Amino acid sequence: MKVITNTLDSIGSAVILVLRTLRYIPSLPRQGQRLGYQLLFMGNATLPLVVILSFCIGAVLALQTGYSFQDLGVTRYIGSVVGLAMVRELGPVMTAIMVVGRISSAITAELASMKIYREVDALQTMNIPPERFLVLPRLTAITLIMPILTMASFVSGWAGGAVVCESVPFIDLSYQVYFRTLSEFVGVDALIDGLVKAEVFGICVVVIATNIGLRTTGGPREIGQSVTRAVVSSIIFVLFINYFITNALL
Amino acid sequence: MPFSNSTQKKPVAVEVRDLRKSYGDHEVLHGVSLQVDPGEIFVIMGASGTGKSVLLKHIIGLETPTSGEVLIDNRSAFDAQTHRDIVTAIVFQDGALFNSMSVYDNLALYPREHRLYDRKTIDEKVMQTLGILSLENAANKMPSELSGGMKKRVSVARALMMEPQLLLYDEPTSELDPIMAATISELIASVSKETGLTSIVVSHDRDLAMTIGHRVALMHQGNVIFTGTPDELKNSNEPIVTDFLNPEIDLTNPRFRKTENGK
Repeated sequence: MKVITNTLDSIGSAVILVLRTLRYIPSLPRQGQRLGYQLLFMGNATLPLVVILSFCIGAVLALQTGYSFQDLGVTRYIGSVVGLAMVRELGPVMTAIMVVGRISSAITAELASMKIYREVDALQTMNIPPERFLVLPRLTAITLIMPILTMASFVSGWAGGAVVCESVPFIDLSYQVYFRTLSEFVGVDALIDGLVKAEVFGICVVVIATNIGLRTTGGPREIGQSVTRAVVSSIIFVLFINYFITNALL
Repeated sequence: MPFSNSTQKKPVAVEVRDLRKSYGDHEVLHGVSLQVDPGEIFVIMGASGTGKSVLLKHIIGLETPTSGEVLIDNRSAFDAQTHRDIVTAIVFQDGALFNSMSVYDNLALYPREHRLYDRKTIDEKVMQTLGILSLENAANKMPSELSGGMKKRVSVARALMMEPQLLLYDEPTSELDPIMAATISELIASVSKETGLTSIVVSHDRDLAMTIGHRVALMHQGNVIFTGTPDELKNSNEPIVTDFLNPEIDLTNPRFRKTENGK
């Protein structure tokens, strides 16, 4: 019963946090410096990891598909499988998981620390709403950076698949054939679906991270607990909501 | 160089009426009432855990009470609009400086965010305030590079940058050596005299209370048991007051043994 109450309490506070934050959207033009800092931080922290991970996943996916397809003689369709799997599923989910690991944990740790050491109180006494100063730049930054990260994931995943198809002897598929079948099956609709899914994941993950960070009370031990809670909650949330978004976008 | 209040806002009165605050079953404030006049330095003393800092948080609007009210210039302290119309600032016990910002940015944050002045004026005011507090060389330092005394002074400087009408200090001299404690006391008195703002100081520091306080309140177990001038406090025959001001160190019958035995 307590778990249900706590979950509902967290969802309620997250919704209130988002609504309060949206009120300050008109102040965005004045927050360019903070927004730029967050964009740089999020990009630097996540882009290399997303590229490496997606490249590896695309490569393994091509290898597995190629191994299964060689008996059927349809290895020329590997491009379509890797292309669609990266765009519709693996790209958005893996990017979201990377965002959870690198960005959401850092956000929760920073905000929880600010809360515990009274910096959030200090902001409030200065009539600077934490939602405007702390949440809005982060939420805007993830909204802007998520499509870039996801596109990078798509492209590197496709590239990983292409390298494997060209270099593994039992597949032996040229880049031209690989990318021709990929482009036949991956249309603009699929790309948009993947980007929308990733956008929803990114925004939700940052909302969870900021909400848990700003609700932290206690001492240094609770900062660690909040980070763990944010990471676990975000991953579960991403995997859970993934089904419903996929269902809605089909 | 004197402290200035360029906006020339008037100091405000503070009235606390029958304030009660409970955390779960534990009542911390048992109906606190007090009156602070405009422009005075009002010192709230008392042993640790008597609710002084909780009272301060209510005045600044960071806590909501179980019952009772706090009025700043006859307006509720629990209404956020009151703190937007009346500039109230607090010097936190641990400074609560923004650790990811330099000292300069800590001071410049309020005027920048509220667009009080142009960049050049903010720069001048920050450097002037740092200069008054002998912190010019710390402008580009991060809070983690500062000593305890410097952090306190930066915290005071940040509050002064708000040009407040009401300034609250939470244990401003705790954890400081006697010289630095005296410096901070002088600072509080000078700020009050030169800007005319109302100051409420929560402190254990008897020297501070007796020297710079216009009036002093003594809190005991969530109640205000004494309010008066420093002289009246000094001359009080109330056992709790005399015990607080002149605690005897009795090695033959130590207090912790009395507590252990429940006496």
